[in-house]
Amino acid sequence: MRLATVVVAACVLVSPEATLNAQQPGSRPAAAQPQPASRRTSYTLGISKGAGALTCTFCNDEGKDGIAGMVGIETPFRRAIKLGFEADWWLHSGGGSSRSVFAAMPVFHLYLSPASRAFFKAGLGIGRFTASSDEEELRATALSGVVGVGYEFRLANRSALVPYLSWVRGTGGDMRLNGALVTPYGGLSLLQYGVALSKR
Amino acid sequence: MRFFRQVQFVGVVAGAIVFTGCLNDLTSPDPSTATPAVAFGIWSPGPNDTCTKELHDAYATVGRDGKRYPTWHPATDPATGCSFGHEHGRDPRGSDLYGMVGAIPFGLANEALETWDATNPRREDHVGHKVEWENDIEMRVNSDIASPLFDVRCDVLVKLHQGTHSKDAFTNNVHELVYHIVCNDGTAMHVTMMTAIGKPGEFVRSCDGTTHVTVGLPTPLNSPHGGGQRLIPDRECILEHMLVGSTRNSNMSAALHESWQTSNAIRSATGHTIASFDPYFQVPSPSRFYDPTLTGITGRPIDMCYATESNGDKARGGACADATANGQITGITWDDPRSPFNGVRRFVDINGNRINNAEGPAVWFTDPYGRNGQREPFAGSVRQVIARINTAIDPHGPTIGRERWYGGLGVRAPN
Repeated sequence: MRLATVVVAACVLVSPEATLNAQQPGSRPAAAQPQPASRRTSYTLGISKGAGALTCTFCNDEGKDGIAGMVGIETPFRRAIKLGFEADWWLHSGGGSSRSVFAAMPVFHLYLSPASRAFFKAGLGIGRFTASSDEEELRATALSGVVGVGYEFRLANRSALVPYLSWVRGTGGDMRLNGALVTPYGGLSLLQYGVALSKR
Repeated sequence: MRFFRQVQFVGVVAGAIVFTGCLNDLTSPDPSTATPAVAFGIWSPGPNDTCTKELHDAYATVGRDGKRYPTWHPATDPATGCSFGHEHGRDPRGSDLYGMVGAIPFGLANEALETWDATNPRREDHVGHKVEWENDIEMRVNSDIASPLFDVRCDVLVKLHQGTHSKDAFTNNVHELVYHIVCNDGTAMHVTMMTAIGKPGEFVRSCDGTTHVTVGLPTPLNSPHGGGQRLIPDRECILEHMLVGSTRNSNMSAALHESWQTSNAIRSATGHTIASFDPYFQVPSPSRFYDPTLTGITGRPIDMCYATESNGDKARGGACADATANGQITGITWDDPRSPFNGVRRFVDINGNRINNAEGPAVWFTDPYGRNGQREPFAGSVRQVIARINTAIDPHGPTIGRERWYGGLGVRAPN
């Protein structure tokens, strides 16, 4: 609950519209002025290969391959910075059980220069690893961060193809097996590499 | 990745430091000035033992009660080369837990019982104290979901009084147990207790695992019923598996194996189970079996190497053939160092470990049987240290010590 509060508060604080308007005190209202492409909010949907793992002091940290992806929304904040919100996921099935990672967090994209298409991203939010079968469920929910890099290949029609690499890591959260606390030091890891389509 | 793992480990290490502090708040005084416990000084050399009693008694430590106790020593004194004729298992100084717990006092729980229930003491011989340990053992987790995700490892150091040379365990189910375990998932216990293994006054026939053999009155007379059981061979096992016809060899493991299957709990005064664990202690070649046809009810396997039944059945092959050179060497007695039936091979199944102490203190004081746990010491209490957690995955340990052999120069039954 506390983590959720932090995430929501962070989103409010970095509200892009408010920030942009504050930067341009003399400007007309944004809605009355056509926005240049670089000022527009973009929506990103990515699909990738990924390796997710449960982490703790007594976990084997073994990453399993699976299908992964991300969805995000970003909007300009400074000349070479975008702020946004991102969700990352990963799924793996096998041996009568399934494993998944889901993480959601505010992020910022830092471009090498205002004209650059390469960016670095980072964010902090909450993540959860789940392993489940018909009989059992193991969950670890932890404060999680993401770091990653990408490159925007601009396409026609305000779109971009974005190869990306990102790593989500969470630690210090409750790990529960069928509801019983296993350790308060549970965590998760998700490494993914894939391609996203970004649309302004 | 390693950085995060290290950061993550800080909490566990901090907890371990606090927990270790619970163990090491007592400095070790000089054993030579401490009051001797009942268990101290009870061993004297036999005819074939070349070490003196004084040298033996120099291997001493001081228990938390401030008394002097015997402790582990090698079978052969390294300075003089003399033999004590018995061994106490694996040198505990190699255990990763030794720095935390120090030398193990033999008989500390027995000593507490002298106070807790002075009219019903339990005094055990010296040679039966057996130490086993292993570092960094890989544990099993009883969850199909969690098992492939975890790498739970533990350091284990145990000591059980497991005499396998006399008639004691035919009736007596109460034996001193010291159990130390520390795992990377936070599971940690440091327990000293008198464990009741099975029912008093009887044992279970080892070769069928089901027949309860009633022998007589136990010591102490008020020995509690315990979980688990003591599987001990009797004459029926010998006749069926050791003395065999000419078409087959003796099956010594079926004839002679002892398995002491403990089921232990530390309980609070309200009856709440704070911790439980159930290691099994195995001895493949004891120097005794129950024989009600003998005056002393204690049969000797080496004697059966020379025996022939009326139908011609006798010991064939295996340990008997090796020890007697197929019958060429005669006159080996049960306490002869040449007898292979001396209890020097042992192993321990660590099995399950459960803690339900998240709301309790790390330090409990129980009666010698591990019951009536309270936060403050009382007359005849024993100090127990148990991690303040509830275990959700109940790490189960493997067998340790199976490959080891503790024999040596002069080591022989009674051992």
